[in-house]
Amino acid sequence: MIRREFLKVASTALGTVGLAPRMLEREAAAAAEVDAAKSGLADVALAAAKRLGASYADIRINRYRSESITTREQQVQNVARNQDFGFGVRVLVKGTWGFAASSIVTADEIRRVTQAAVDIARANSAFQRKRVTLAPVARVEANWKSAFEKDPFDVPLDIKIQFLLTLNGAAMKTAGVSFVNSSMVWVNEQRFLATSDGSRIEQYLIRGLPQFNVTAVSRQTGDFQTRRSLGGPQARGYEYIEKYPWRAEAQQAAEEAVAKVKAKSVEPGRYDLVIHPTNLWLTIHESAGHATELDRALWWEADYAGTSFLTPDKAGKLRFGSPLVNIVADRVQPTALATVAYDDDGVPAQRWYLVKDGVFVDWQTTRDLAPLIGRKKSYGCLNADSWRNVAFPRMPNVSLEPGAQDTSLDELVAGVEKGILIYGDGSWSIDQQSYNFQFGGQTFWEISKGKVAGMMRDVAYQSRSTDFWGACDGLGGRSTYQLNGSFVDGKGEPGQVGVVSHGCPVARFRQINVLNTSVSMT
Amino acid sequence: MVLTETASRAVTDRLLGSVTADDGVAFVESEDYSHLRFAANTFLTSGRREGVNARVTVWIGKRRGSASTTDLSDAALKQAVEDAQTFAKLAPVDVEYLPSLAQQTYKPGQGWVDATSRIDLPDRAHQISDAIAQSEKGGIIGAGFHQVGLLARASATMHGNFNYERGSLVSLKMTARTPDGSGSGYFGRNHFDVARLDTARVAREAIRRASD
Repeated sequence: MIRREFLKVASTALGTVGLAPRMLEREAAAAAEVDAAKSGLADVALAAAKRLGASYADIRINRYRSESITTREQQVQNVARNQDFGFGVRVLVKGTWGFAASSIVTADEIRRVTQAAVDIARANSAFQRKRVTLAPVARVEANWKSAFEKDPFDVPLDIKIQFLLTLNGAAMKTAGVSFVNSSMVWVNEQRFLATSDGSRIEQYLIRGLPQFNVTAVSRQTGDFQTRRSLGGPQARGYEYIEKYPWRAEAQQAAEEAVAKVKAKSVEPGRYDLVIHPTNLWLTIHESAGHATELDRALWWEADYAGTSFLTPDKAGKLRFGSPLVNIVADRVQPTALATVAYDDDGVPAQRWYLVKDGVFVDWQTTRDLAPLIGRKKSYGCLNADSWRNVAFPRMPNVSLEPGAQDTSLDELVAGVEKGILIYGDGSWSIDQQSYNFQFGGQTFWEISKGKVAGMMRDVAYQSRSTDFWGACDGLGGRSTYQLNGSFVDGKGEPGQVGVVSHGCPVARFRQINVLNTSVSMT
Repeated sequence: MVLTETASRAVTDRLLGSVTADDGVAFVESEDYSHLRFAANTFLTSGRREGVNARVTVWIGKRRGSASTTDLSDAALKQAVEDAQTFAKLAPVDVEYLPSLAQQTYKPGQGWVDATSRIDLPDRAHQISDAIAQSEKGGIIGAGFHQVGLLARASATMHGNFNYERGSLVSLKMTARTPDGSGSGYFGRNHFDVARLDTARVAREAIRRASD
């Protein structure tokens, strides 16, 4: 079904102009040839693994396409398209993992690489301390396509370039704007997974990251300020370009960048914060998302990404935040970046609570993690960023639920005597246990006596994860809920890049420590 | 797979043979990479990947375009050149453009050792197991990462230059922590010659720093 969709898109593109048609035709032809053989190739790997003594095996045969366009003012700076195709075989021998991968997708190569994966597992198994056991999963055969309407790889390049140059032009019209950069990145993952449990899963994912950055320079002082776009990456197609008000936001960003140069620098101290979803997503990501990764809690990431202040004994006991705080994990929200139908273990996508009524209650798990805390099933958090890398635990979408009442941003602001309203993510820092943190932002607005006053600048808020979430005393309603997220979440050795969304409403936090980030050269 | 000089030159020749632009440079990179990761005093993931990437950069009237592919078939390489030439037509004039190099003379590289390219899997497992054993003996929780990277790079220009270089690298790094989290130590070393990597010392130093 997915293949038919792909070919249909490719053939309708043939009548258009520009680069896309020729590339799509080539890619579709190459993909169709391999797709017909995928199941047979998978059988080769799984049979070889079984013959060589693996108790479990899987093979991923994946194709990745990406396109990026970068512009500045009225110039195209770079255009790149890449295609990456290959397979990876994972085996479990005597409770020990082995993995091998190659870009040559033939039966002979799959046999050779499967042997290599088994050799690795067998060599390591002789010294393995803790044997891996897997939580059970049901066999499944499935085809799935992510929630996009218009395949961006079907849109001619010149249309995309024109969009970006028009966006730049809109921002440059504002007096005081010196530079504008804009770009769009599109990714298509065509994933095929076959497991020795009998599952066969095909998934076709599209995601995009349009963004811009406006810079205003004061010629008098030499100071400069920037305002980056607030619309974040989404698992959407080209309709994201057509439906989101990018041009209006570029004009607004231009005005705000200019205003930022003259804005009042914040006085450090304690403030009530009203935080917009375009900023709060990153705080959720770092303080709740990474903290509830079970592999971090078990010190599996101690050599790289870090551990977690949430140790396994704290589940169900530790007060993470105020009773208003409900944080859910999921891989099912349409247009969210970590949404799939099945993870790389073949486990179906789910939704579950990590924090319920302010109490930390659960973890992010995979088939090999779940048994370590006595669980009989995985939540489906296994993911690899490429055919060439071994799948390992990655963050699902982690989101703050909106409040029960449809409270507006203005209503939250009305309850603040002295505070700051924050939009957009900026600089960030958090310790290796996801506990002590500091976050900046894009724009900051003084709140005085329940009203938004003028713009401020040089703001960063600093807290500890549990203190911060414990200070949450107001949540916006469903109408304030937005998804934002990261295209480049790093973790693991060898390093891999994850994509993840975080939804949340606007939220209010009482008496949070605010720093002034301006640099004094004296 | 790490391509030989002859095999690499065959790829760059095929790429440049399709270029109709004013100038061009062809690149081919091939790798054979393997790792063993451990944490909480046990092995986690271990794997190997092999791959090749061909890339071409062309200039048309000082406008630059690039494209790459992991497919080394004639059709794929020709398409990469065509894509690069299409991108070049869209690009702004590169005011810093300099013609690609004419033939140069290079000294042979010194960063490749055959022994590093033939890592013995049981021996590697034994060495990392010994590092874990040192941690267990010292009441320490160890986490670390052993990797071996073999890489060959070749480039060729339309003005007659060709360069081929390959390198090997083996490394081990380790983080050691006391169970109560109050002590932490880190140590890492790498070398192109596997015989020069003292894995026992890496473990010993990381554990000592955590214990001190």
